[in-house]
Amino acid sequence: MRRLFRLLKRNPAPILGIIIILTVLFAALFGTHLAPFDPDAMDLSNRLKPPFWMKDGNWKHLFGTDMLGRDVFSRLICGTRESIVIGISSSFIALLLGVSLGMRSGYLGGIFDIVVMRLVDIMLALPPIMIAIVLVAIIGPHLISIIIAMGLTMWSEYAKVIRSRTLTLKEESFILAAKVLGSSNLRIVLKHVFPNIIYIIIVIFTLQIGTIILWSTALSFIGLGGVTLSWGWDIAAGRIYVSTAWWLSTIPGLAIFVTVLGFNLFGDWLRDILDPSLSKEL
Amino acid sequence: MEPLLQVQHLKIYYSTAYGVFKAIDDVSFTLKKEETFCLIGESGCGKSTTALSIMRMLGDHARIEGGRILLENVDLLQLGKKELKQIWGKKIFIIFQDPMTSLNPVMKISNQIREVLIRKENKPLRKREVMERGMELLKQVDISDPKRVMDQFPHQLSGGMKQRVMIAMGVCLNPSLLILDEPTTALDSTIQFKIIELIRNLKTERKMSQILITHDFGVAAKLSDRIAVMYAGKIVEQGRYLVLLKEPVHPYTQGLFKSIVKPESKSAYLETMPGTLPNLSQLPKGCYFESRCKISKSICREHEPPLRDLGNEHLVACHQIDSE
Amino acid sequence: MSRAITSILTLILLSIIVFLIIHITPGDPARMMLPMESTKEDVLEMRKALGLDQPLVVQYLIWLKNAIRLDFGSSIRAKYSASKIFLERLPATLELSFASIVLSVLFAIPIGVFAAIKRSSVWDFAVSFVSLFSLSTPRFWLGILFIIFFSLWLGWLPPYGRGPGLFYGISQLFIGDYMTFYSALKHLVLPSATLGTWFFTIFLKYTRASVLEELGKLYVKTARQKGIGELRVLLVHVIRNALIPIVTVIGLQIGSVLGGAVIIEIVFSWPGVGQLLLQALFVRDYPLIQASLFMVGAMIVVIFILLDILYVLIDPRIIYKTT
Repeated sequence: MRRLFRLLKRNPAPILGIIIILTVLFAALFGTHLAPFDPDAMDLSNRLKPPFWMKDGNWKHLFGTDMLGRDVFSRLICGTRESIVIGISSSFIALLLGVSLGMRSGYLGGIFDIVVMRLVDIMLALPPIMIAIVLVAIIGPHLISIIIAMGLTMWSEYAKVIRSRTLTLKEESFILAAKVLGSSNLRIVLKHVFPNIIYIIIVIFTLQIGTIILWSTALSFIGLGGVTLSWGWDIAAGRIYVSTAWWLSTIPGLAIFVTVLGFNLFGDWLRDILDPSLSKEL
Repeated sequence: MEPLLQVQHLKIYYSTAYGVFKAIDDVSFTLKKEETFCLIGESGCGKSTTALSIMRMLGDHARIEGGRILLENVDLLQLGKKELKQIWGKKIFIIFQDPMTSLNPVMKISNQIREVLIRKENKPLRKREVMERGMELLKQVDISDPKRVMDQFPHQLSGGMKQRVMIAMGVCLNPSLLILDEPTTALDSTIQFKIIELIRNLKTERKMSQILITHDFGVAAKLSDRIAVMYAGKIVEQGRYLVLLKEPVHPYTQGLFKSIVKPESKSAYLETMPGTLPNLSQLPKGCYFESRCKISKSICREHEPPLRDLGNEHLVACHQIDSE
Repeated sequence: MSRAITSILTLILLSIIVFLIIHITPGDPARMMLPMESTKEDVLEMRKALGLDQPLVVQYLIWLKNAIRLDFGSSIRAKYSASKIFLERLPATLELSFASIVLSVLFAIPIGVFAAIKRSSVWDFAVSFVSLFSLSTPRFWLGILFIIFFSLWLGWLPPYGRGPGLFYGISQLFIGDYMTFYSALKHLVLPSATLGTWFFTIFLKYTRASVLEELGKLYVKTARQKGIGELRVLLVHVIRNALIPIVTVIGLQIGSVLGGAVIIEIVFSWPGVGQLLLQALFVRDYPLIQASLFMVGAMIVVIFILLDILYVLIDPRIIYKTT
């Protein structure tokens, strides 16, 4: 514990990351109750008002209003929910798929391994957009399409790393000892392999959330997520007004930037203290 | 005879987050012309660091805490980058330990030799000249098919061949001092003999003085004129090889010689020395070897033993040896 | 060899998925292609015409046969060959992607080398800092910021569109017309800079890491003691070795570049394949969707094969491993 504090004193950056993450999570959970206005409440007499620091702005609408008179600040806070929901669910899907396939692949080898690795190569080569487009073509432009698409995009990263770790672990003496003692494979995997790779999983999970948010907001931006309350879509909607009401497209983007930065700061720090060798693979 | 190289009270420390490591702590020796001086010791005793510090090729973390290295009366430790570039190759050349990574993997041997030839002649050369002279060089290091080797890439050559190429480069530049950092350690024992022969010829035929770094007594036996035994960054015993071999005086040296398996020894018991090297960032006040020494007394714990001359160029750093 | 197998497998997998899009989507494809008032008989006839009454595997094989000849049917909206429409728009996307990669590499290599040499200095930390920020920035947002700043506020560059296009612009150079070329370049700057930032950052990181690793190797010391000047050591010895793994990096990032191109095309109204694909998606123009997806996939595979060939050319260890 004490070592942790010493490390943080030398490099305080991850503290900022943690603060950002906590703020964002808080907003995602409680935002709808704490936002000053209903994010969908239209007020056509109050359209396109600028943020408070500009002439014509007021403190009631901190970041101004959009083309339908909705409060930008409230939309910002409530939009957090979509990004976080996608970020965490997609990351989980990727985790489940990637870790299970990766571990099995590394531990058992054989044809399963060959097939999975080919699949990984293919997935790593294809742009996430293509997968998203295929899904939207089938399911339609909904939140679920994006979540599945991102999950399918990111699992291969887990699979590759977990597989190589499992391969090295497989040859370690304590695993061989357990085998000699007669433990079943499943038991070995759960009791011996898994605790050694859990650190990597945590690091990858955190770092992936940032990437997922970047891609998923882009997908919302082009409309593949449907017209929901989201940062990406708000930026898209604000584009027509970019010459007059530039804040509509700029401010939600800032929110994305800060959020991703927070996850990246924290994730990088986690990686450096838990398993620095990952920086070669990630 | 005037010495070629004089190392005087060299101190090299590494400053890290965990403390200051005294890699080399007050080392002094001289190298005479046309002799092979061997630095021998366990891994981590500082012998490679000594070699690299003569070349000034230590990393950024190394601090030169003190001392001088005089080559023909010029202190190498004071030279700037430009002057070093002049000296490198022409006056001193080092053959590294690992032939696998000593050569540029994406350049053909001919190109790498070309660079050496250009340095030697100080002018650009035509392709044919490079090939002719390169093949000549390779022949001198006993490479039997020089034409083919010239056209190959390093990974196509065996370890022994690569090391010969390095030696060929050294031969071409003809420096007065050749440093060999564990030249045969990475090679098969069958090749080692040949390379050792080659190195010996360099001294006798080309009059190159040599500093040999090794931990292998066999190699030291075949090549060295004088040796210095290093321990934890210091020299503990120094002298002519044959003298030390017959009568090692320092307890560490004795332990080292005893631990070599001799074919005529009847006992199945391998002699070892208890203990390990001390932590270079937490060195004791007195003699560094004290904790492993059988004959240590209280004075050994209190004071570092100085190097004393026992006569006949035989130097020892030990309190328990009387100088006669 | 193994890459070739993966490529073929990718194409097959892709073709199956693309083919199945129509069939998995709820709704009858035949009905979707006909106007509302069609009768049951019309639908049945349409199904027969589309070959939908045949078993799935047969349909797939027929589709595949046509796909290889680049015949995906006619776009529902535009009423002529889907693949032709795709190919007409492809040069724009290629121009954008290529320009981004070239720009990124051009800037990333010198900066990466510099950061590696001046390791742990102020410059190095600045580079790490900027990298972190860059990797946290959504590209489409960055594009909009660029538009606001460089087009609307400064007025230096056009905010939207491709203008005459680089290929046309270059061809015009030959008859002495500089303005067209200049206009094409001006339109290209912002979109390719936006698309390129991600690639630039990743490339920068790899270059720095790679150069750093090479600098620690023994052959660099050998080169230095041969008396070679530091600049030559860097250029001829270090960089030639450091850049070899970078071809792999390009390969890994191609997907990201092409995917990002789709989004950037929307931001800048760039008339490329991305825009086409998205429009097709929203009106459910299946032939066009299939054509675009398949041909993009095929393109990626071809690029991989080319990169593999490039790799063999620049790393002598690969060919000669067999001797």
